[in-house]
Amino acid sequence: MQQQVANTFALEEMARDELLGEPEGSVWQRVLASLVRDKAALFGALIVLAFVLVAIFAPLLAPFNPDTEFTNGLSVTGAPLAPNHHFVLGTDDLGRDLLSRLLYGARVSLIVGLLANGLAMIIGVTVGATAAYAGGWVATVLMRLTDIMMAFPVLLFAIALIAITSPSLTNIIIVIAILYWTTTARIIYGMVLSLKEREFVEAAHAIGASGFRTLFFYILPHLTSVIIVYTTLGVATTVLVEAALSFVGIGVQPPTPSWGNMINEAQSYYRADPWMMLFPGIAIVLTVLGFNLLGDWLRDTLDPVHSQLG
Amino acid sequence: MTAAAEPLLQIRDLKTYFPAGRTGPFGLTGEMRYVKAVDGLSFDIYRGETLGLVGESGCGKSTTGRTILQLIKATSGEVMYDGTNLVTLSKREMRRMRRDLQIIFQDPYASLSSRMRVSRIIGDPLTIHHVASGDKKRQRTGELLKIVGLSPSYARRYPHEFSGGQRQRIGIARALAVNPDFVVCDEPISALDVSIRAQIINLLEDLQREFGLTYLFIAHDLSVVRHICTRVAVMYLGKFMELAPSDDLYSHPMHPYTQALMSAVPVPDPDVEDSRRRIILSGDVPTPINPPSGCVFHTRCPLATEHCRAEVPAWRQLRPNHWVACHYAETPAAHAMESVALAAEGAGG
Repeated sequence: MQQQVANTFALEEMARDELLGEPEGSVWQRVLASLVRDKAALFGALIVLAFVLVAIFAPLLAPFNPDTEFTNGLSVTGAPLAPNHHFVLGTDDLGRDLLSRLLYGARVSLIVGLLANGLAMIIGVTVGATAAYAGGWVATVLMRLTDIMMAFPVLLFAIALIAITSPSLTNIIIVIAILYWTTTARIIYGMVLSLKEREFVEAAHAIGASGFRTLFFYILPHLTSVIIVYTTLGVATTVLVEAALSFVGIGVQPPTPSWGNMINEAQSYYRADPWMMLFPGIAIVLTVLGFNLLGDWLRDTLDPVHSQLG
Repeated sequence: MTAAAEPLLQIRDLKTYFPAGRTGPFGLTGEMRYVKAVDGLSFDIYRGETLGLVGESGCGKSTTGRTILQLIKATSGEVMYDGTNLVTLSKREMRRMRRDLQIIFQDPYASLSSRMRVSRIIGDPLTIHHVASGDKKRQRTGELLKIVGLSPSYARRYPHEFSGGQRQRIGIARALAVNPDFVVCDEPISALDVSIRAQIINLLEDLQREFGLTYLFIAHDLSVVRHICTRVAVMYLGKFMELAPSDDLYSHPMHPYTQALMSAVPVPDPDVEDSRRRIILSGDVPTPINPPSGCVFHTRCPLATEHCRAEVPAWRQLRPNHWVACHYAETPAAHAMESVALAAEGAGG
């Protein structure tokens, strides 16, 4: 939550700066050069790349079927196995291969990260832009609604919502989207509010462009860099929320592996077999770290005022 | 151009007020206050002419231009164009009218979206008004670029690849795309380098001749206005002080404010420049929230009397087509010198 607040401030700052200057020219080569120069960002980018590849190619990379309960996957006393030459990261309490489950778990995180976050962005941008552009009572209604949504304790609200419906991947995605569009809406609202006072928007009115056309073709293109940055940073949050929901048992349901429910299952074994908790934990930390590092760098890069690319 | 030509636009008692909060504590109670940006203007714009609009910054000249085009909603009054009152049109109806009424902006950097190619900037008006699409549109944008003196090959570029002067040409091409009758030129050269200004002025004049355009030319530079305008209106605090054919205004300025403005224009002749008498106005422009009573200029006018504080001067025609709003317009020159002399004495003593 604190991280999210910090992100919001940074983005609002960026939103302001975005309005002060315009990035110049196509910069892909310089972007790449800057990425190589910035070691932290490069690290983040590599993690994100690895994460995406793992998620896509999990079936090819996984040594075993993640749901198979191996009879030789448990010790004679029925306890999970430690990492060994056969099961590289060991096995879980049902004798399933931990590495395979971890790789497949990346798929859940990626799907939730992309879809929930994408949906949240769509809602947030729509609400924020509409409110700012329309103004008047539309803005009041939409932005007060945003404030109300922001006042809810997110995790409790998510638990309540899923308890009403039923835990499934689709529901998690929808619930996360419903909970996380608010910060985006706020940022976009502020940006559109100042963008619509700019002269090129008045020029759009002057040539007779409709409200929709003005908003969509004249204002929105100026928001792309903010949307890219915020989406990247948002994936980190979303992955965490999905893990949290799965951990408390209302997220992705077993036997489908998710990093959150893997940690949940590991709870009773954390003294005897700490790797069961350790590896999914590391996976979550690395993914969140990767997206945050990449997002921070994107923000610095796409921000024309502080950019070193100009 | 004879001033007796047919009016293209008739503006009657046009007012644009912006709400500026209430008078009471925390702006919660008390009377609603308004910034009177445009305060009751009535004038005609004749077909084919260039009407200059000059005044200090903040006097409402840009607001006047934008209100005529309904980019800012008028508080009251009429803007008659082609038999329709633009003020009462719905947004949708007004959008259709924009084909005929266009604007060129002051700042060629702010008025072009940095995320749009030139082809799109110029082509969008064609799409919106269903003038052309596809190949025809591409052809027309190329043509427009040529008209404003740019290469059609620039169509694929983004605005940041151009200089200020080139950008202003793009802005002009956008305004001309749909063949308008009337164009508001909102200080189109103020943001440009001095070396570029003449080029843009000449371009605007050429285009006017070629396409029979009518301009409302907003400026704060009197020398430019004299060069390009048929008639000139001098504005102060949302009101017209004087309106006259260019030459007449420059040879016989009748309003003390006009005279003060004229006296501030440097003359490119050292001898004349040395002997030039400057009328220095004291103080600042009063706030348009609470404009002075009577003649709005009385707080800074060297000739102001009790009469000026009490009564709003009538809008009078004192020479052919030469309108003035001043109680003492007939004898200002002598009066002014006297006052200046008195003021100088006062300051010296």
